[in-house]
Amino acid sequence: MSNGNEKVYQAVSSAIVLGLTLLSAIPLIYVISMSLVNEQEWIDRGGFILWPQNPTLIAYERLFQGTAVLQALSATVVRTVLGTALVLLMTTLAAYVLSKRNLPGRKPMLFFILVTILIGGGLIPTYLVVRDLHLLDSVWALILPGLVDSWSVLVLKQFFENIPGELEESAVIDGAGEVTLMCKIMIPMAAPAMAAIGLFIGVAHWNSWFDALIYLDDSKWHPIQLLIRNMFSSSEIGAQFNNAGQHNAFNPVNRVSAESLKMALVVIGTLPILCVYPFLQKHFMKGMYLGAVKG
Amino acid sequence: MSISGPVRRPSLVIRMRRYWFLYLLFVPVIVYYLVFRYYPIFLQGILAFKQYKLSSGIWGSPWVGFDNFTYVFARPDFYNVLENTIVISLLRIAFGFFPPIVLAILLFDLRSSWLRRVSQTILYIPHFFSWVIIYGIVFAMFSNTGMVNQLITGIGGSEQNFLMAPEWFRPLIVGSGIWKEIGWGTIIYLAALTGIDPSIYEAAKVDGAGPLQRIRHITLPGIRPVVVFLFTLSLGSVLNAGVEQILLFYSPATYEVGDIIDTFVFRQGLNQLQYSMATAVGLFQSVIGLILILSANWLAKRYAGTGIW
Repeated sequence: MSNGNEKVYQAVSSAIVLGLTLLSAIPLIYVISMSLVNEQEWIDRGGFILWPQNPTLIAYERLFQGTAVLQALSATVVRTVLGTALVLLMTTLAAYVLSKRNLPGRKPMLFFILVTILIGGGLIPTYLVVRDLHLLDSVWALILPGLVDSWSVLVLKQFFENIPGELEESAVIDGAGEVTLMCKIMIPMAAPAMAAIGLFIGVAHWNSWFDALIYLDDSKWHPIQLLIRNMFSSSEIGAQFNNAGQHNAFNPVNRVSAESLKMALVVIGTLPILCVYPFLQKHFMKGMYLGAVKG
Repeated sequence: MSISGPVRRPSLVIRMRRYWFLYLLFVPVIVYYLVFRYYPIFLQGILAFKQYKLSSGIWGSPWVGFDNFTYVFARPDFYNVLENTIVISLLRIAFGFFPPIVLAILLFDLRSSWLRRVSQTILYIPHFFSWVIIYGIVFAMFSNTGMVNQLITGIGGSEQNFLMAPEWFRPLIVGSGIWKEIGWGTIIYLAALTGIDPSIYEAAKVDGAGPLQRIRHITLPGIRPVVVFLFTLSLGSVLNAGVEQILLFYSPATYEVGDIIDTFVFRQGLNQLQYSMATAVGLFQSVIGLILILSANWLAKRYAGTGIW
């Protein structure tokens, strides 16, 4: 009796999980497919393309013919690399110091950091601070306000605390000073955790656009996500990238629809995320389960 | 710990001098928090009670007491904004809180491990996309030329203006939020589920319990603390209805149903340059938010046995 129930349950739950997975996957496939067609196919098939018949990279070629996308991509790479490196450095400093159990004043120092998870100054006061420090329109406006991530400090601090104390003691007996201890022993031990945190911070930097919207008027440092957002609200994207001067400019085979251009932008904006996703997945599955085991 | 009688602790100064290097390392961290985290909090408390004038700056501008607050609370559109914020948050909880729990249980119980692996891999992806990308995907699905309208017109229906129609705004916001986070939301429950002792399941099987009895008597009690904890936590943040997402999705046509506190502050503050008024709204939001999160934590401790701190 219960065996039959189990079979029904397995069938139903497999169907639901499969359905939800398709619901996640189909929009992604649709976006990619739409980015791979020219205007001819788009017209022929009434704009409904789950799989391109004549895949072409024309949308990508057009987007990269202009300088805007390239400039936004390089600005994003700079802010992501610089931002991730600095956040990781500062977060590690904070976590390392706070992991020293015997440090006088450790509790208030920890409290000092954790309070900011609960209360913040809000949009306008933070904007005024950035403005008064003359950071507007510079890449530092995208990096300095988020220089330490309080949650990551907590995670990394716990990681340092779990490194066996004997390791530290034997190093001190061997005559290692504080600098040697930190750089030669503790940080290498914490490298996997730092790599995981770095990946998450990097993804956050790659994805952010709201700070650029607030702090940058000048489009020189506009990141790719903000460019995508602006191009989605532009009604001229089709004309912008289908300009005359191209051979047979009005033949739909040589043109690309505004929809395909937008979908190509979405793919460009996600491609790096998809590239690091396997590493992310490895880390968060492992990390989350370990965290749960510890309670 | 010592067994050789009391050891005199060295004085605080001596102990602190031993750690001078660590304090030195901590200085940049302190500077960061003071400048970018604490000073804005302080400014918020000042600016909300001043009438900011660009020419005189923050310190030269006159004090106006509670004028900014009385002005905001006299505006009828502010109540609309407040209502939208709470309604959208509650809709998110009502429709978005339980699906990850159900999905986590189904994934956990799946016998086919390849289906579990493949579906988990795909379901987690959207969590790592920015809201801009999510908007792009929603656009692909729901714009006038999008997939859904192609399907509707294909079967003879009439085109729906999903992205601009007020009646579709909240379903799209809540729905795309669920689409983005349903997979990621399962992780914490899956972690709790793996913590349940497998021998309990074995015993239930021997006793002839079916899948529904198993879920009701073992699985659900096993994740109950996490569920209660996350539920109270989500109640604690009802004044934050998702500014990035709404800023992308809304338009003047949908302000009426979509304008929330954060987007209101954004427009009034940064577009209209009403710094003081926007800061007052921000302070109001912070104070209520803090009260809510502290009460939520108290509730979580009381009913789930675990608080945030």
